[in-house]
Amino acid sequence: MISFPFLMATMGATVGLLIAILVFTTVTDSIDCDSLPEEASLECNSAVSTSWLVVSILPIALFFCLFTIFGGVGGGASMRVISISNIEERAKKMERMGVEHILRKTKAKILDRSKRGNELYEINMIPNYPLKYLKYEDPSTANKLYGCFVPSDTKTADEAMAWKFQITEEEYVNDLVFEA
Amino acid sequence: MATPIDPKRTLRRQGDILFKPISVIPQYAEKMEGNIVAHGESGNLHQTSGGQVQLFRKKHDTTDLFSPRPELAKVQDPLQVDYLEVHQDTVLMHEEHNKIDLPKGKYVVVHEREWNPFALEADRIRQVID
Repeated sequence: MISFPFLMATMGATVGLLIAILVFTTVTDSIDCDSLPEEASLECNSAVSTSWLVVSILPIALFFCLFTIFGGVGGGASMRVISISNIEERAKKMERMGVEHILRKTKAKILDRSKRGNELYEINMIPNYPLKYLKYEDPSTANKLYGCFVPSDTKTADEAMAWKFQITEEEYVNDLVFEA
Repeated sequence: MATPIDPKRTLRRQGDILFKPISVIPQYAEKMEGNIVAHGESGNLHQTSGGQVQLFRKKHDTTDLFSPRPELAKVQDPLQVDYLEVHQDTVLMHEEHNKIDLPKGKYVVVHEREWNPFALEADRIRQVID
């Protein structure tokens, strides 16, 4: 799947390429190197080549600038990892990248930590669209860490965990006795 | 002093599956063969060992013909177990998770879900895939 930073960077590079072509055609149309004396013609052609080189750097530079600006480096990579649809694959990649690193890169702010070790975070990577993310341990797979998004109106970590299993927070805290 | 466990309220969870005791299996449920309660993409199974169990799933049309966009109607996973009746105590096994005991009784099988904030509003709640 094409990531958002890659898409934005590709669009930027395309715009940069169009500008480069426009600049280059304008330069070549306005200068007639062949009508100049031989020595001047050589220098003129050299200048045209240099202008082509300079303008051709524009789309490449725009690609990398936009890729970085839209989070392709650091935060964007972390967002991609926590958004992987398969929970096991997500957990493995989170472990490989480092959960603390991911939370730092996504600017996650802890909202609640429960006695059962569940942690609820708010992630503000998208302007005016705060996301709630739950980090929890699996009781039997050697405390392997898992994470998933939960509805944005969730207030506590245990409420989030209860929502995942369609039970109330009270049921989760009091009645969920056997966990493996 | 520890609070005594009430079997009628006690919830049991193994990974992405939770068992909640119920008094009756709904009439719209239909029986299923076998002892596999849930199966993951990775090939790991939640399956009962020993005892005697009967699996059930919700019986309904696999497509919603009244949907304004029938091509988007959700197709029910034919292997998804929604209810479980344990006639004789059993044990639920899984390759990665510890086993859990399932005493005699009737249960609704709740599959773990999560929120997808990047999906369209109607598709934001999805079942966890493992």
